[in-house]
Amino acid sequence: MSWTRNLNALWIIAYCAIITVAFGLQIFDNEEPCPLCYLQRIAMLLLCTLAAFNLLFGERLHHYSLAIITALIGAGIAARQISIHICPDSPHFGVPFWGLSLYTWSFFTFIGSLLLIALLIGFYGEQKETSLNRFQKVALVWLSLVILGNVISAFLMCGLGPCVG
Amino acid sequence: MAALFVIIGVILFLAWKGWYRLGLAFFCLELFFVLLMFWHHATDHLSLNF
Repeated sequence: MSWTRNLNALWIIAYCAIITVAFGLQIFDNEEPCPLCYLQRIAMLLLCTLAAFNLLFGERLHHYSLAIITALIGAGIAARQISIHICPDSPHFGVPFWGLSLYTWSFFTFIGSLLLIALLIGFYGEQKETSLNRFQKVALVWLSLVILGNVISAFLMCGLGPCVG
Repeated sequence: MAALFVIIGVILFLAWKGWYRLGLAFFCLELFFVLLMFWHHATDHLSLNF
């Protein structure tokens, strides 16, 4: 169904928008991402990659099963970061957004992704459509730019190895 | 960390070129590395014992 393909494109665009806002905070507010923040970004981009697979190769159930695993890992990383700062004497990491820290919002996005996957599996139907409309092309180009931006940002901060801090 | 983002770029490039199975293989490799880094962070960096 074409609307499920557009929903996959919307999924990519939503995550790209979130990471672009995080980039904005990083550049203009000097909010340097921590290693766990980077791991959450990677989990988000991996979810986008699976949505891109759905657009480029047609929807397949094993894309969604991999997406469930990825969303659970992402939620686990975010929950880990929440647990580090959850005690009353431990301050937020970074600037809160609408009263909640960015990693808490990140946790909600992974839960949201799990709900979206449930919806998409519910309407799953065998289809081999792979042609892209303009909206879907924009989503894929934006995704490529966000990946490139993260490569540069992570390389400047930590090189190719793991970030320590 | 940048290497993990580079692998995501490689996955997208492979998908764009139509190399489906290789793309999925890189995806699984990336997922493994993410779990490894998470485990490293949770145990070594924070000195937790499991």
